Amino acid sequence: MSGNDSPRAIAGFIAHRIGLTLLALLIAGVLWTVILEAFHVNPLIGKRPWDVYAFLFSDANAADNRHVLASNLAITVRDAGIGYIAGLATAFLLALAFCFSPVLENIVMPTAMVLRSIPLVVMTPLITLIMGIGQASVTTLVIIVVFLPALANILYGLRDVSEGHRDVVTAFGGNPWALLTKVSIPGAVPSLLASARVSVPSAVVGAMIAEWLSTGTGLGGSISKAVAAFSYTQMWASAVTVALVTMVFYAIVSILDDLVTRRFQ
Amino acid sequence: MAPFIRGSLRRPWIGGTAGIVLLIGMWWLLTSRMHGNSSFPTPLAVVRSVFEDGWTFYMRNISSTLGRAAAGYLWGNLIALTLATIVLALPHLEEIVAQIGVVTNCLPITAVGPLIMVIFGGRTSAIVLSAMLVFFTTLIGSLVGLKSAPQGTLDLITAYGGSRWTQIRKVRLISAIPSVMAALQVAVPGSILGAIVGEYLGGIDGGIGVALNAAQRQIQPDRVWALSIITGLLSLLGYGLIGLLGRIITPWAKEATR
Amino acid sequence: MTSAPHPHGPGSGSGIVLHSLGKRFRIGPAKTVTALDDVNLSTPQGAFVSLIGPSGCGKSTVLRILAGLETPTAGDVTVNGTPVEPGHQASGMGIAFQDPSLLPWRSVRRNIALPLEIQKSKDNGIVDELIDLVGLRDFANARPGQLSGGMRQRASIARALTVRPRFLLLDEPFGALDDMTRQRLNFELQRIWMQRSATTLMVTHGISEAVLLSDYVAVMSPRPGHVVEVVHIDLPRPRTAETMRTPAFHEFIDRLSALLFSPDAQGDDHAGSDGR
Repeated sequence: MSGNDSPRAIAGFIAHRIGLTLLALLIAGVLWTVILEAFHVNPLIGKRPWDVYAFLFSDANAADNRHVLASNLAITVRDAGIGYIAGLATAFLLALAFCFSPVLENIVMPTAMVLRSIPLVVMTPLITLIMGIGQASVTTLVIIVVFLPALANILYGLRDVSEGHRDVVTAFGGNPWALLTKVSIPGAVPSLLASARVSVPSAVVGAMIAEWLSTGTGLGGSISKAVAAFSYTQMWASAVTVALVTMVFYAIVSILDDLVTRRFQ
Repeated sequence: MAPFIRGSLRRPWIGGTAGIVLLIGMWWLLTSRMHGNSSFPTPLAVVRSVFEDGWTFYMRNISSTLGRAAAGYLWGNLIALTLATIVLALPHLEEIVAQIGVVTNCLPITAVGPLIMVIFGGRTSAIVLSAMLVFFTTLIGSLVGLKSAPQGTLDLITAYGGSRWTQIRKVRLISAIPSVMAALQVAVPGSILGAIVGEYLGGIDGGIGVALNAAQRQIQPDRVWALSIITGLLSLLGYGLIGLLGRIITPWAKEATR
Repeated sequence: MTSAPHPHGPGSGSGIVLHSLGKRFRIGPAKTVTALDDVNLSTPQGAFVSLIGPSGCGKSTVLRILAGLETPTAGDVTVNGTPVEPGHQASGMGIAFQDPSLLPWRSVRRNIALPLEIQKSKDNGIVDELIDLVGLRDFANARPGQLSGGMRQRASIARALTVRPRFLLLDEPFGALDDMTRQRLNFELQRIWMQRSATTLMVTHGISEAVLLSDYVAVMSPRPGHVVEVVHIDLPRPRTAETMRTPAFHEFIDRLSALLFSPDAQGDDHAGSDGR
């Protein structure tokens, strides 16, 4: 908070954030158990935290369970990761392009707003219809999910920062390239990071929806198959795993974001 | 002539319309060339299917989806605003409450949905998913809003002998409204998405998600497209309406940022 | 620190009295910064005092302590004979900050009435009287967002006066305004202040502004701040644009400048940027 940049302060900050995350996870675990108990949910369906632990670590075939889960998780992380990076990059480049051409922005942005409000599940069949079942449609979907909010966010950030700075560069005879490298790109970094943070969960959700409705692979696919096969412990374990992995990535990006934001202030 | 066109495209309304028209034009051009490709219908075919399916079909499905979305919207916002109120009273809890919001935001709806469905049934699942997607947005929006009161104004209240309660009543609650309204606005498409995912999972007899699922299985791309676009427009309509409401009840919000 | 919950009454004959005032801020787990060190000041009741000094010398901290917004770490404070501490503001205090801090959703009238609401006092027509006094009658029902910067600042001054203050605190009230508006508002402030004389402390960066308005100007040193010298400004009131062209006025400015820019009270560039 005090703009202190010493390694000790940064380490303290990171430790604080990790502690906070662990505390929140503990509360979530307690809520999970309490809700299941309060509604008297059948233990065959509503698995408790310790059931999931047993499934993954202490059962006879725990190693197999872990292996299946890990291979599905790897697919989901890949699906989400490719689209995440491509989506953020596209949003960043397009936002920069809009800085030079307000006309382009006026033409594209309202369309983007319309697309953004079409729910994800609804978009999935459309994308699958156009691109067929496969990696292309999964990636396209994740890109769309990440790209649309990020574009609006980054554009807002670019506007917010650069008005005065832009005038300074122009006044000293800077060309558009100088403007881009000296003002626009550094100016967009905070909003890019903010978008990177909020896009983590949406990329995972996008990938899982696409896997569920299109390819049938990954955790998105395996969960729906587990539902059909009544493998409830596997469902719970998959849900918990994907939530934890999402949280880890979210925590990494958000700590990065906060550290950079602290430097900028 | 060219500068004139460029000039008018700069106006948001004209530029925006041009963008949508361009999109529909490209769609039309693309689909009219692919004769026989039944999965990618022309805009005309989509519009025709809307009229063929008729008012009752859409009303029935849309109203049941919107009903679930509304219930989820209500619950999600209620819980989020309640937590924000607790933070208002006990500011030390802010970080941990926000972190709990992050945890719920990281729960994948496609994983939580089936679990809730097998435990509580399809209708509850749709409402809970909808509430989940609303909760995070509104929680973060309200927490930001409660912090948005300028320090100078709070000092002023203290200097005249006002208590923390006076600060909350006269300043912090009201200055939070624009941020809360913005969150409520963004939450609208989220609530509809949650309801549709819930319906898609099954265990429900009607709704946009159910109709969409059926149309896909029966290979009726015209209807899939029509349902998708209408849902998008509905989300946009809800988004716009809440935005309008926000502007009516906080006419000062725009002025203050100048 | 003394703690007397009831005012002793104005009989002591003193306005603002700061006695060995000190303030340290914690900025880290084991680090503190001394903002104020042994600040002493004593002025008569009803006098207008300005506090000038380089940026970061703790002027605003003194004001915030007087307003009961900060707790001093040493020394004590009395205003019009009443001890001040957080939660126990001097009775009848009005305050205006550099930022007008108007509530954007309230009309000018309701903003000006805010202190009365907080203290649950009756209006008795003072709000309308003040709206007229600061020349905002036509804008009484406008929201702050619809006013110019100068008008907002006038509304802020009017709000400071609604409690019929016997003690007025002004923290760079016109600091954010352009020079011409500032000049005009200074004359207005003098007019208003002369009508309802209250013990006043103004924090400012502007030397000429301080000379124009004050009975006493207290010059502060850089951090840790303390009062270097108090200059009595005995120019006759009302002071006008004429006054500002007299040699006497300029002598005061030169003397204050010399104090501000002397080797043992060297300020940063900010302090010298205006008021000459």
